[in-house]
Amino acid sequence: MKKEIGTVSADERDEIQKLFERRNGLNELAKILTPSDEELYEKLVKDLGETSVKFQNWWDRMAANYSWEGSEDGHWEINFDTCAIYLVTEK
Amino acid sequence: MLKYLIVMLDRASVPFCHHEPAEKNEGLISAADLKNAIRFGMKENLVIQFVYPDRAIPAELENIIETIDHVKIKPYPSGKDDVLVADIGAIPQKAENETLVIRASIQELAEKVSEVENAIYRFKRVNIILKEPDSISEEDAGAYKLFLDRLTYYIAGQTASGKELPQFNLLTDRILLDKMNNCGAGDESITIAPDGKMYVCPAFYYDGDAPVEWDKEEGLQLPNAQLYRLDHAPICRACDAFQCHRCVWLNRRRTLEVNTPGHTQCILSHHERNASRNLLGRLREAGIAATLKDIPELDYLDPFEIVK
Repeated sequence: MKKEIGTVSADERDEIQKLFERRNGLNELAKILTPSDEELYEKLVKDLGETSVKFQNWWDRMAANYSWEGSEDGHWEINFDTCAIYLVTEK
Repeated sequence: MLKYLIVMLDRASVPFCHHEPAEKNEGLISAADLKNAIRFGMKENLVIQFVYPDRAIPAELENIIETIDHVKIKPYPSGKDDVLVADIGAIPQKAENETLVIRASIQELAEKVSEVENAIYRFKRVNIILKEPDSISEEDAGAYKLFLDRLTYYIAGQTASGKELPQFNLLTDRILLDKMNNCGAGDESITIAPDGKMYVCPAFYYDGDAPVEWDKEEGLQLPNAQLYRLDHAPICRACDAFQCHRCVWLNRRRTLEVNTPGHTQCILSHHERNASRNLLGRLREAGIAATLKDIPELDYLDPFEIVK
């Protein structure tokens, strides 16, 4: 089930969209990278780890700011076009 | 010395370690064998772990189980004190458990890093167990290193942001250990299978090994029992990848010797060890974990290279 539970501002949307796209791009790059290229490898894993932290921190921060409804068997999603936040549950 | 007794309630008990699940050939343990197993555990003062199948078991067996202190190892759904076992593609969002065992191949870990990142902070403790260990290649070992390395940045970042350091077998156990802490099958733990007989571990049962006898006076009648101990494992004795499973079943599959690890197992464990070292360094850069012991830098990935 998918239920709209709030919205974020355009600036906040831009922040998470940028992180989302960066993480996807780095994940694609990780598929073709080997540890033999030490400098690039270290830069990539650092960027991947830090992007994941920023990504998670955005959700933690927004959830605290907006007091979104949560569910133990669900997760939140964002619609980048409308800035809407959804609670998606298994049932 | 034996400390743990694993009791498989069904031939199709959930695989919580490297071995694959049984085929559809189900077979519950009998009430009499279950009672005998519990009596044995009580007499030897062992911590008993019951391994459940992915289906309800008869109330008669449940009632017998509840006569003794124990730990349940179960697939979803299971309670807070139970060890939950899940495939990486089926980690439940809603789970009360404190401990989660995730079974995954290296390829799945590489593709589903975010699922692991989320699980680490949803559960009090997460253990990752590699499935399909026979098919792991050198290329997979590189992907495993990448998976571990990116998680070190993630965990260090989250910890620096104020979150508690999680318990994650691949990266945080080594930071806290100062000696080997391995599986111990055949030395510290023994398994009673649904046929009521004793085996080194569930994987030995599935492999069709002969059961092991127990002698009241002399203990476990395991041929060459000393080979299951660390003091008779020359490569492992020289190693400081303290978090390694040191899986005797995998050793035997790879080298035909229970006390000799295969090259791949050592490489993977050293990637874990070295990533733990990197995590410790990053925690210290953030002003955390200053009192923990150093993990020295190594110039090898397989301790076979340093055994004289």
